[in-house]
Amino acid sequence: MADVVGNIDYDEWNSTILALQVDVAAMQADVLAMQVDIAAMQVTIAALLVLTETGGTVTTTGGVDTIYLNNAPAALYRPVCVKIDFTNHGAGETCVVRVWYRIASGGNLIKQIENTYAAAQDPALISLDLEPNRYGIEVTIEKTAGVNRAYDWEVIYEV
Amino acid sequence: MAVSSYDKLSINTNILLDLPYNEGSGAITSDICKPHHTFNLVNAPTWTSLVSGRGVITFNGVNEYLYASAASTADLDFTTGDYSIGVWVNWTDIGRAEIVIGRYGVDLDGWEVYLELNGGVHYLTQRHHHSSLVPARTGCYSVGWATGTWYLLGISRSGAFPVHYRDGVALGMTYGVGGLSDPDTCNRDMVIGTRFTKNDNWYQNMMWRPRVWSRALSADEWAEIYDEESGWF
Repeated sequence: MADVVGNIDYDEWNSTILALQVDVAAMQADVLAMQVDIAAMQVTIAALLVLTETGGTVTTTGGVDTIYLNNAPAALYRPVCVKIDFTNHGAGETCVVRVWYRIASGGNLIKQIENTYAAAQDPALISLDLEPNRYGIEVTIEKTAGVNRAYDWEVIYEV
Repeated sequence: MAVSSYDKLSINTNILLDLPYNEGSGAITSDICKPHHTFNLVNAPTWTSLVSGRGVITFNGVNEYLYASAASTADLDFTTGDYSIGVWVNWTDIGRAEIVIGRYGVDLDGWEVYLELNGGVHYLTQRHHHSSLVPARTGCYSVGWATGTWYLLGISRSGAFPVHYRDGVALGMTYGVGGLSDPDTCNRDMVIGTRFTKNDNWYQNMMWRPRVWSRALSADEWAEIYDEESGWF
């Protein structure tokens, strides 16, 4: 029998409250499920590669000078290209640009590309494609003939 | 796999310096954000690889430091404007204040940040120098920066009362009377790991990825950086 006081039916109240508790419990389960989904999304977002750029100017010395070096990447990453500005490079001058990769942990950087640029360059901006890498990459320039000069450079990579 | 752009990440808005120490070797380290400051490693601080694979630099607390010329860091001459400084630190005490980063002259101009163990309390102090004002230096500090532990050190400056963050969490601050005055404009080399004269106050132990922004990062942004990078440490 309903316990009625005045116009209040306590049995009806109780059943309503119980129903609300069930609804809240269901919502809590939904929120927990969403939190799991959000955590998974955060992991995915954190793993997205970020297209990044660095650059500078290297003045040749006559020896082998480093343009770009990533000697110990923390994880697999993807260099895209290196660009070098040969505007200052004149007639009678020669530069050798090399790209080196390390393909084994603790191994040496091994030369993969060696290009020689003699005399003024037209177009003056040279670009070399770079490849995905885990253990290290270096780009070097060596002035083998002519006056040492400043060369602007830029490397683009995903990490 | 989708690729986003460094410059379009909201966290990198107005970033002026970002040194991830990717080189792992050699005597220079390159800035990966647009200004492309080049920092020189002096006296061969050690390139160190953590268990996680993350490359950091270890300073000996004796004579090793990094610097970039005044001319190449003019964009880091903060006066009235907002700025933020972030860097991962794991320091040990040498019995002296240890400069983390700065571009300053004591009681003259510029800004500096240093760690210090004094009376058993581990301080992070931020100072502004301004010879045009009295007193010629103003500062603030937070505490709890224990030695031998990796921390994400964050500073957001807007106005006279900057806030320090440790591991993405805002800290209780102590300010001098009136807070920090604006630094006087400074034309000096930027230093990491030593005082402006490059002959004392050496930083000892490890450091990774000094960053500087020309805006005040929010608490959420510091928490975001910590969430994304703490796994390396």
